[in-house]
Amino acid sequence: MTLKKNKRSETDGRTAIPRDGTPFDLKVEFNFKGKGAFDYIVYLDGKRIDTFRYERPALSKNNKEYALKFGLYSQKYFDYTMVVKNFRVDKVEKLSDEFYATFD
Amino acid sequence: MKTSMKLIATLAATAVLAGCQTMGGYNPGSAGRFAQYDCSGSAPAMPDETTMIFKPAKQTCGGSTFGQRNEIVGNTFSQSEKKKLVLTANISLTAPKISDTTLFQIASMTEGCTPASSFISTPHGTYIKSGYQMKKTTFV
Repeated sequence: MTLKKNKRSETDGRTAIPRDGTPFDLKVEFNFKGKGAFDYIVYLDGKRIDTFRYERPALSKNNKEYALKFGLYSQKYFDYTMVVKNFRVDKVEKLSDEFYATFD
Repeated sequence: MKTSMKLIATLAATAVLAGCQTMGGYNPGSAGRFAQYDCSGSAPAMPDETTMIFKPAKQTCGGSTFGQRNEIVGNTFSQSEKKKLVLTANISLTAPKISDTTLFQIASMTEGCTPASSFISTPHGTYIKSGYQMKKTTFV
């Protein structure tokens, strides 16, 4: 599958995330390719829900770093509780076969 | 695991604050509405070494409150760096009153304060523009 840059896969649709307290497993595979470009796949409970290829027009003049953020940000204030267990970010040598089949 | 999580928790609030202050005050969520964006927020509570609990925390921007922010920041690295990462977590979310018009992002990759791509969030298509892509993940 070939993805246009900065476009999500057309096969990935709107995906429902339970917000009634039902736990789910989140997994995200990233491949940072240098020059500000990266690909990723998001899985929920082992099912792929999103695919994305991001390419910058050019490296930022002022900001030459990426930061992976995890948590809640919203323009509106509302009540919620998010319990996160076993959060990990691991650097790996190789991603899944599905990842390479998607982006090669 | 224990060490890395404690490190993330320790760095969380200061990393958000310091990282955004050096950005020059650009707030991606409001397209520069605030000249000064101090990004104050909160880090999650950690009742044990494997659990983080995120709850609402008002965000202060330019001396006034603006929405909410409660997040951790980690893995800051150069845009020219090549690396492969895998993020995993087990999540339980209780949020009875989220609407589709609320920007509610769980995880994102950002350039300073500017999200390059937010991959778990509510629909917010009007914010799609160069270098800022929001996903259309919905909540049930």
